[in-house]
Amino acid sequence: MAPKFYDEIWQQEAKKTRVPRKHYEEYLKWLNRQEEALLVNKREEAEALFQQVGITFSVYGDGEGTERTIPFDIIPRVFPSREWTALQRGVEQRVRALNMFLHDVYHDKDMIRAGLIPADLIIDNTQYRPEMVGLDVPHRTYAHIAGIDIVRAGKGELYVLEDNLRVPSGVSYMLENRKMMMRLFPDLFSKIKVTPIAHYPDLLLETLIESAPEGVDKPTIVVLTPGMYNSAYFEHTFLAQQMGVELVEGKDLFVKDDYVYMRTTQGPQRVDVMYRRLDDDFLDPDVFRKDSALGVPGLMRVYKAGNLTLCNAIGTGIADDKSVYPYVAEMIRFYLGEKPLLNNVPTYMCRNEEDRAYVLANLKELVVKETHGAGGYGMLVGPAASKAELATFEALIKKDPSKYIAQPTLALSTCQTFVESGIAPRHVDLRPFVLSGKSIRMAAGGLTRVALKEGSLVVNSSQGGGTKDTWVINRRG
Amino acid sequence: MLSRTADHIYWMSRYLERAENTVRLLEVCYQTTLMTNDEDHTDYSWRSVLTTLEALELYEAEHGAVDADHVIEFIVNSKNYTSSIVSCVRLARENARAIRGTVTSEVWETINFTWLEINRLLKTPLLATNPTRFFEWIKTRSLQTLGAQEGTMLRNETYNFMRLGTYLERADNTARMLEIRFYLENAADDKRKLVTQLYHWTAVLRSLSGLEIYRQVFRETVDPKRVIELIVLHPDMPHSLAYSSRELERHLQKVRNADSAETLRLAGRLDADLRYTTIDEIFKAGLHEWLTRYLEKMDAIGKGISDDFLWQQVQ
Repeated sequence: MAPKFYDEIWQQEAKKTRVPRKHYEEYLKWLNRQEEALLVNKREEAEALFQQVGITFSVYGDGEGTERTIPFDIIPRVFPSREWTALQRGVEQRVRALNMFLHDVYHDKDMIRAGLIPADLIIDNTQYRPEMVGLDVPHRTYAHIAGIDIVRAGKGELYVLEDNLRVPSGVSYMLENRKMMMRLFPDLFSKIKVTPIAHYPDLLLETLIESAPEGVDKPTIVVLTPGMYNSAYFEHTFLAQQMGVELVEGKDLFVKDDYVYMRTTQGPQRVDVMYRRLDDDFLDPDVFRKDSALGVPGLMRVYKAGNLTLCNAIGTGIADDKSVYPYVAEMIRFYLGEKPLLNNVPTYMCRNEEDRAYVLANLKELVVKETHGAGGYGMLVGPAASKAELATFEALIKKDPSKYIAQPTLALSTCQTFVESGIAPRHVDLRPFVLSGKSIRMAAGGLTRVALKEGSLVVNSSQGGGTKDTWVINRRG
Repeated sequence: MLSRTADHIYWMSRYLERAENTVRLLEVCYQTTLMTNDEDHTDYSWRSVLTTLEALELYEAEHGAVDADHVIEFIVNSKNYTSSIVSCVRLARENARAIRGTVTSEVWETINFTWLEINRLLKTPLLATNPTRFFEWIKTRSLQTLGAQEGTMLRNETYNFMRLGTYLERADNTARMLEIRFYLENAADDKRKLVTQLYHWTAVLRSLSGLEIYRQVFRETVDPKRVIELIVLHPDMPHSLAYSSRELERHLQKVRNADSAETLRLAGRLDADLRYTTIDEIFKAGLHEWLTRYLEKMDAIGKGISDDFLWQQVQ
């Protein structure tokens, strides 16, 4: 009873003859010529290289300072350029609307006043930051870096699973995976023309430069990291290095007279734009969490004075909250007057009585998520859950319904993956990154994550997920 | 450059240099003790090494009696001894990882590879069966790191702080190496004492990559006074005190800031001292006394660098 999933490589043909999709033909021709032993070798080489280059993440709560690599799969995820172009237009449209929504909820609240989204859902939400009300940010851009999670389901249509507008990570893996593929299989790239993505750091730098506070000519840009024991530290150093800017920690910075400075060997130097990889809560102990040793006391004062651009802005969490997600299509219609190009997953909001009744009656078929959750934590996958887990979630939902949403369990598409037992289908998703400053920029690619466990739908690296290189190719002929 | 970054770079270089010099020290002792079957002598030599490294107490607490195998194992592999080879490599790598974006990927990957590889090597019996090969491996890795730095780094502040760390550590370690004695000062047999002395200084020279240089410069047999002259005063020998002091001064000039005038003055005076002192003057003052003062001056310069530029001074 093999479940029927849309496969990225093979068309769903009956029985014996499997026909590859057009955009995979060239690659499969190449793959069929490779010995399995060689592929095993290459996989080991990739692991050794990731170790040597130090593309690792620190394992939390481990005194030994253990570092691990994220498993890398050598079979790429391929998009034909036509489909990619449509997808790109879709996510760009979405991010434009989300940025306008963010400006709106911190200013005139037009969408609420039009009755298109409940006021309490926004104003009473813990992700809503009253500190941001009335504050103007350059180009009205809040989410400079957005990671939009895309899945394919059903007969092959694409859905947006969630928008990540706080500190989305993973872009370094998009870039390093491509570098790794080119190093392992140079001949492959001479045969198939893959759209390059290596200029992403330039796009990011341009975005940060044009987001500088008004009147600042040559802005000093920094990347703010929580420090080397953060799981994404490699990415922080990587992006700072690629852009040629300083990588700072909170303790390198101080505030004086409404400006923020970094301590250098030649004395204090003013900072104008901060690509911060630190959550809102930790940014300024004077305003947010008092116990944060990672932030900079007084930072919010500088921000409010308009002397610093934070990328992303404070308070973007209100737009990627899972309880706000169902309204994104409405945002696109309301702010842009356009028809949404990408599908949303139907979502049941447990805060509504009718939805809640449906969710509780159909828990076994649904995926339940915490509205503020991320990283695959605090989630219930109904069909895979035990009786006890179902009972726990039933109680949780009844106790605090507004904390949960539910969605039908999507039949995520699969992509062939080189696992221990050989080449087998595994479920995948995709995170493309959208950059917004004065204008919108994107590289033709994203991070493909793959659930390495057979049948698993959870792709997060913290839950045993791996990654793949993502290709956009122009089909020839 | 961020003060914290400068601090990481400086300590990265110090730990790298310390690992190399500690291995050089182990090598001298190992080589000299191979040439004798006098147990007193061997015991004395390894004690001297531990004393020089300020590790005798910790060693005795962990192992008790002094014997070659345990001392080598301890100095290379102890997790508690913060200047053990494995600790130095780990700390160098930790510091490098913190600023991996500031150094070239060649430099980072060389250091990271040394770390990955030392962990693998220490799981093999190599150190017990063939310590010399292990010592050589460490030296080669150190030279590769220096080579990666010389060959790929922009000559900017990062490079200057790297070299400040290297030369401060090297000057300190070399001066300490000159202090060590592997022969019994009050041995009854003068002739035997003379022979071991000769072997000792030859080993010191070799461990500082100086034996060939010695032959080139003096074209005579190994004479302790000449050896010391070479290691202390030769302006162009990479491991001499004179060379290290000059480089220190030069790189300090490059990074100088509003606070560093006094440190620069100390470094400049030390450099001048070494340029215009003769070996006879040093012997007249007493080598031990002279070296003690030299180490004190180095300490003051090291403290100056920390206070003027680095992270410790912040808050």
